[in-house]
Amino acid sequence: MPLLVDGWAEQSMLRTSPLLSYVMSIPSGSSSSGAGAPNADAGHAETADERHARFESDALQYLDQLYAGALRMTRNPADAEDIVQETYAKAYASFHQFTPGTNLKAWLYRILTNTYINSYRKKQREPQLSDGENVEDWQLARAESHTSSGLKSAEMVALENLPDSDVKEALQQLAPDFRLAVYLADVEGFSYKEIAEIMGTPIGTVMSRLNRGRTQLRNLLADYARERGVKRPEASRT
Amino acid sequence: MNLDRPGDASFDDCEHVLERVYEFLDNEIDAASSDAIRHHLAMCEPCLDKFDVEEAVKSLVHRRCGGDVAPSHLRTKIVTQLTVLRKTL
Repeated sequence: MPLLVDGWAEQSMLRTSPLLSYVMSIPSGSSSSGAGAPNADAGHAETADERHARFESDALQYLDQLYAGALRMTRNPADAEDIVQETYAKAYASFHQFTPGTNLKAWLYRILTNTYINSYRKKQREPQLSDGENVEDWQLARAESHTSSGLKSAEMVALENLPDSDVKEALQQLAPDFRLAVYLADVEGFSYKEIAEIMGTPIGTVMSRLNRGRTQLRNLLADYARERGVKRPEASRT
Repeated sequence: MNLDRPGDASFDDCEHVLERVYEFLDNEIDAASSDAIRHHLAMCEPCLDKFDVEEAVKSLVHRRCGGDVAPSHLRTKIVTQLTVLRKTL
């Protein structure tokens, strides 16, 4: 813990000075010539030290968020740590390609997502979630729209009382693409456009993943809520 | 993904309103459509219930599924790694 605090104190000082980081970022425009190489036609070239410091102050502030995201993706801490560490290494190596002033968190998430996809393809051990509810979800949700939302008001109260572990577990049960889309939208609050960029898919695909993921999630949560408390005799969502 | 669908007549029927529930909750909808949907919800309780459920689930996920804190040894590892990379890059 103290370790964490030390790092943060310094970083937040840097972060509170937008002018400073702006000035520091100006010259890094066309640096394919290597880390912080002096740029002849710029007034002040960012030195390697400055860029290193900028990366530490700007990128490391997202460590917890990236770790949480990685944990939802990989579903276990050791793998999450691995992909986060790899993400930072890759991000550091290509930081010169990042355009200052654009969304750094989304950029990091994109690297994280690619890293995760590569790693699970390599390991082939991400179980492709059973289509347990093999619903063509959104169609089905529409068809049953007014009759069953999967949750009635009493169950919504039960929902609020679910332990975090149940909610996380329900999310974990979604197929990876659905889970990530829901996570990026609901936990991180990214826009559809940002999610599309992070996941490398068209916006329409993002929307369909959200639709299907949320429908499944809602049904799963309804099951948990029922198991935990509210028992309705007619409880059945089929 | 009809983000550009005009915002009045089509929101008279429930099906079209429910079709846009996520775009509405995600703030991915134009102001006119958003107003039209609100107008519909004010008059249609079944749709309103459905929106409430979706909003509750969205908010639940938001509050409960993030917030994990990276272990401090991970931060140390990364900082060390960056220092090493700094020399090699």
